[in-house]
Amino acid sequence: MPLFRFAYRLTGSVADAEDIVQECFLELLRPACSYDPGRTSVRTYLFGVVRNQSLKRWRKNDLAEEDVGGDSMPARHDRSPEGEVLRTELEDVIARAVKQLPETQREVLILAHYEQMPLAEIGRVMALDLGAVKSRLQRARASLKETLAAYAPGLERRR
Amino acid sequence: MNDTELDELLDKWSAPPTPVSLRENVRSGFAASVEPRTSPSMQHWIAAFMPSARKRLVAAAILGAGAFLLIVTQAFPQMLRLVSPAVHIPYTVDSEFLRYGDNGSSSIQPHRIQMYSRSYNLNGREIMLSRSLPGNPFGTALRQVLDLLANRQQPLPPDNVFFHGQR
Repeated sequence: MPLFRFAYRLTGSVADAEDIVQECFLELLRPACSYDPGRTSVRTYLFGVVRNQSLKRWRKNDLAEEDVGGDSMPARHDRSPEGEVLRTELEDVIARAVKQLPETQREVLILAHYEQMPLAEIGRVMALDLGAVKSRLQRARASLKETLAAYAPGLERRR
Repeated sequence: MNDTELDELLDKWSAPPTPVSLRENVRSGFAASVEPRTSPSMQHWIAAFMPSARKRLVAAAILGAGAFLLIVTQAFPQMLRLVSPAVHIPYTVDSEFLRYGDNGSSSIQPHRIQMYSRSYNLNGREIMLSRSLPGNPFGTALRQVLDLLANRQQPLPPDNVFFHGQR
């Protein structure tokens, strides 16, 4: 489910992602729901809700973990036993590298790369114009190339 | 590192499969939201529509009370004592109100009956129990309701009730 994957990559937690996606669907049933079919598609709206909810949790968890001096991504991922089995060291490295990106760059990268969302739709989800989306994606990719340079597939093969 | 290498590397970060519990929770959440109970969302809905609903309720109550009074007065004119137990009516008088011909004829023309009434005497005053106007159901209903309301204000009559006879 794309929404779950998106929430998971933003929060780094299966439990949080599950809560967020569930909440996001139920939000549609509320009378105060702000969804307007004339303005945007359901998909874009739901991604927007997941993004906002994830940011809230991300910031809350980040503050809590800063207090205890921990690193958020692995610590939160450890909550899921399935995740422990599946996760490799390289996945951790990539997750950390993505996590270290500035907030908006991280969201654009996840939507564009992992969800294959068109840039125009990303702009609608994040309330950004197309130029801003492109520049953030470029900056995110450039930053990741630098951070993950040591793990480049070419280098691995050469090792 | 080129773009292709970065994409390959990023692809290695996989997301766990969607938990089965998520679908179940969403389904149960949808089901719970459509159950007929007073949830916060339902309360919001009720609050939004309450003004017009209240008006309709008041209008329906008034109509219902009017219909009830009409039926009671129409079907049980002698039962007013139940409504106003202080009034004791041993006898009532049924009357027909007629209009004579335009030419001054004194012959009774049945089609010129203006009103039927049922009344009793109280201290020399005629108290109407019910009235009906042939061919005028609205006027009949109105008068019967008015008579009923007026009769509720009457004190207990004495035992001497006079017979009026036909007019």
